[in-house]
Amino acid sequence: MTKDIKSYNILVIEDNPGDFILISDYLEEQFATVQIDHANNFNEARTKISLHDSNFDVILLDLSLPDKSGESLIAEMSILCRRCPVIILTGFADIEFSIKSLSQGIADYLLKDDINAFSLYKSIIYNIERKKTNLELEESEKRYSDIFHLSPQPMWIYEVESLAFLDVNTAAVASYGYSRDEFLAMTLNEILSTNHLVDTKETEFFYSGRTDGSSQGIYSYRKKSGDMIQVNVQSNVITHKGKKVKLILAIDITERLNYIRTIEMQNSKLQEIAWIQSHLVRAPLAKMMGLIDVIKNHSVSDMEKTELLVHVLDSAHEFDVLIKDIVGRTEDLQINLNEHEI
Amino acid sequence: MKFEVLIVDDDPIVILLHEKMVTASGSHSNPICFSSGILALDYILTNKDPDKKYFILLDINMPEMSGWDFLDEIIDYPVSSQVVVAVVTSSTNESDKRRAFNYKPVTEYIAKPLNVSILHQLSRKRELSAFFIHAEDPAGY
Repeated sequence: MTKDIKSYNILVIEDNPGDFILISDYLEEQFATVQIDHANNFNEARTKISLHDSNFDVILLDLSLPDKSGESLIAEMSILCRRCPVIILTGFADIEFSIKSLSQGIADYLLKDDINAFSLYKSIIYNIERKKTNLELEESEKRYSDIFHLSPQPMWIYEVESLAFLDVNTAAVASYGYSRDEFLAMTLNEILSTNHLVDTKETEFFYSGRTDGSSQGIYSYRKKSGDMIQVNVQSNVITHKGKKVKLILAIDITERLNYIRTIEMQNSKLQEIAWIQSHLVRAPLAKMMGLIDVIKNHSVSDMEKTELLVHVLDSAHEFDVLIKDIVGRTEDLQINLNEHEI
Repeated sequence: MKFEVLIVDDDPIVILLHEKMVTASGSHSNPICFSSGILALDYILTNKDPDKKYFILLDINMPEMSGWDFLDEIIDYPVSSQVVVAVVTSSTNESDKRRAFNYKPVTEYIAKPLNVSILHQLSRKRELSAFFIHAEDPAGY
């Protein structure tokens, strides 16, 4: 059997010298380059682990050590060895306990009486690989959890059936004024206004042709302070621990809607001004042109001419008044704009 | 056939101007002037002569009854088939122009100020030329 040429660092925690020699032999049979470290009791093991800063690829642990054993040993080992698989070497008497320990963070257990060089080797390699995979999975889950919790926009998850909040992120807590605990004790109804539907496009089936149950709409939500805000809600349906839940991204668009409303108001005022320009302003001007045309091209008596010139001046004044009105209105618009700081 | 030219405008100076122009363009010698659409409408409706044809120079922006109101009213009456309207307004808006031509009696849209050369152009149009001769035709119509 060819040896594994990769180099390994293994800690064997075993107080029985005979057992230790046996295990070392098995290891040296299968591993070409192996650094075997030995601890006789828990304290020694703890020192070595802290020293080497989890540089061990795997730890082989005997269940009955002089200074610690059983459940407390398992508990302490789980805390010490977060990144390193721990394999228990046990006797028949402790099988049931060993099986239980798997759920406490132990990677595997082997029966001392039943192992041989190859079975030991196989278990070690398998558990190293499995530990690596588990750590990657944990990291990936943490990353997604961070995306949720650290998102600058409020996000929450609620159960579809009961409407109860299952989780909220920091931004939601900051935005709505409820603590995380307060949130988790509420349902969605407590923040929805009674007249909540402002505008909804239920897009269960029509959103980009997807049937993934995502939807979007604008809702009115109530903060703890009682203030109402307009929120653009995007939701996705996911399955979380077997239940149907909705993941919500809720962006406060109250300010934006206010700006839009202000701009719309300004627009209609501008349209008013445009109408005045085209309908009212031109009138005195057209009259002036007509009057001047008559004075110039038609035979008029001197008295008529004087009268007509008076009308020309009147029209000019009328024109002036209208211009001043328009200027006044545009100045008002400017003031409005400044107030809203658009 | 009797042909009458009516001038409808709320501004007395405009009426003065238009009256002068209509007369000066060698057209109808006695245009009839109204300071409001109500008066003009009243005049037309009380005149039950089926042989009479009316050419109206109609302003739009008038208080009480605007040019649009006048047109809305008159098309409900059969006498509207005896009426030809030229909208004369200070507005140069395309939308106002479109709106004017939606009314069947309206054949012209003139932006103020009206002048003699515009009237001469109108006098050459088929449907309006009859208004630009004297009411009493020597041939005895």
